[in-house]
Amino acid sequence: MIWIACKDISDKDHITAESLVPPHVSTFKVPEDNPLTEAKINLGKRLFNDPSLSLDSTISCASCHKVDLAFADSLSITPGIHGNLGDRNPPSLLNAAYLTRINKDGGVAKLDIQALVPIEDENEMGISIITLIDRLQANPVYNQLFSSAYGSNVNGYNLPRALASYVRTLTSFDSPYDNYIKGDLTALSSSALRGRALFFSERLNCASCHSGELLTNQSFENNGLYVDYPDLGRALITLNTTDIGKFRVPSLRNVALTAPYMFDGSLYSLEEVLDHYQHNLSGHANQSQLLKSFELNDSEVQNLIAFLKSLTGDKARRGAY
Amino acid sequence: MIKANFNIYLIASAIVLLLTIQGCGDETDSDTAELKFDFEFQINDEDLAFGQVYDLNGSKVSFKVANYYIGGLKMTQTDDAVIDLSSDYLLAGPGNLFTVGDRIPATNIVKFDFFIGVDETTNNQTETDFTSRPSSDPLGMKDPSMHWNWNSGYKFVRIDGEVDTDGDDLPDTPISYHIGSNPLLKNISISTNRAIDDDSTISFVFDMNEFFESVDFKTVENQDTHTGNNLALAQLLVSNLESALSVD
Repeated sequence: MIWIACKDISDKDHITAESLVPPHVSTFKVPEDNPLTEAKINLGKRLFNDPSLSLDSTISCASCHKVDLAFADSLSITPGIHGNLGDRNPPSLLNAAYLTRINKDGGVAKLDIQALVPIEDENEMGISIITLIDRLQANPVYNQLFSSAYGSNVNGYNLPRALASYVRTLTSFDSPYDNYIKGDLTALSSSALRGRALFFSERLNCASCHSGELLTNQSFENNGLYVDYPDLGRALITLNTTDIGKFRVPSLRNVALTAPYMFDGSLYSLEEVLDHYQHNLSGHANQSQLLKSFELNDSEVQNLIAFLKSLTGDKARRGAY
Repeated sequence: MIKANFNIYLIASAIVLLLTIQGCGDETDSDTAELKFDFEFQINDEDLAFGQVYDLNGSKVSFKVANYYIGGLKMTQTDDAVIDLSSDYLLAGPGNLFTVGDRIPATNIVKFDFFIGVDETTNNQTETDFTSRPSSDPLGMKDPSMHWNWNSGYKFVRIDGEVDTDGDDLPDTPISYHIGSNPLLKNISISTNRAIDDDSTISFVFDMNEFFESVDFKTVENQDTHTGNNLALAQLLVSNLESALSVD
């Protein structure tokens, strides 16, 4: 009689979302068909840093999502293969596990298939997922890693899910602001405290969109950046003209690390962002009604920026992921 | 006595069984048919050949990809009964062949109803997505891809090629027409008189001339649509589908 040993991942191997976030914040959902395990996370991290996932083996996920920049980049548009330039600034991947829709226009339904976006985009990694699977299947190291993590060799199902498993572990809730809301009233400087008051004031109305523990309500808004949008944003997905120029409100966690700003990286500093909201709203037909007219003096600008800087996580600041 | 009665019972049962098997065999051979679908692409009244240069709408063009999805297929018979194949998706492409799983009644079809695209639930990809499907599934991963990567769901129609823009008769400017999104699902109804008997193959015919009616390949605005970025062109092409499709 021959016994064939099968990989059996029991519940005890699962890593819970609760174990990845501190108790003062909510947990994120982990799909039932892709529970987190150490093997998946390690595999995902390896894939994340592997340039062989691109057509010419020059670009990895980490090429655009840099660990010391909160998994964003300091370039407006990061070149992909052959130096190709896309249209959008790489977003931070920290806390991506909480996204209800993926990509700045919300075009992708779930994190577990998000990795296919940059992998197949001709301006990013530029490789067909089928070609990439063939490439990885020929790699005995990946054979073993995928078998350990998923019980099978790499395929179109487990490849993006391994990457998603790693990205789910990239949480960031250890900022001075987090310490403050946990009860350490000395965690924020006096300047940051004044900035916090401004941020949550009706006068500025920032928190109407940048709300909650992620400092985003994940709505899609037009923030008056342009009169004519070269990138239609949410309208590319909904085909609705009232969605032209709308992009997902980004989280402000670690915002001090993720310049430049806006969907296309066209504003290079927090000062420029605040100047935009004060003086340069385009008045586009779809501009959010939540944007209020306001003026800040120099001191208020510095206080607000001090508050925004207090949203930088300690681990993100150190690049310790 | 009991043993004799039991033997009679066995013999009678065997006779009934033999008659039943013989009856079933007769029904399969004469009253049902194996049905297949294939897919023709026509341009300038001839079969489309990838890479060949054609005159189309005043431009020299060539094509390298031509695919579309057929779903919701129902075939109405002469007596108004409907053969429902709506649980299947067909990926139309040159050389593709789809065989219906179950034999169907040999009959006469007077109408084909179907849509070009993928139904909204399947297209939204919030639960089952294309990565969950085997490569043999028409809705599984394909190369050239029929799934969006930056958007959920599928390209309902994908046609790629090149057009000559510098007047040397060599097409070398890319053209691509990727049409998807739920609002652009297109219902088609084709009346016909098509007999289905043993081993029938029905051809869906896609007329490229009709599909590209009113498309001027010389203008940049007509050289590319990925639906959302050029909705007007995508809508024009969807409206042309009705005249582009026929059944043979």
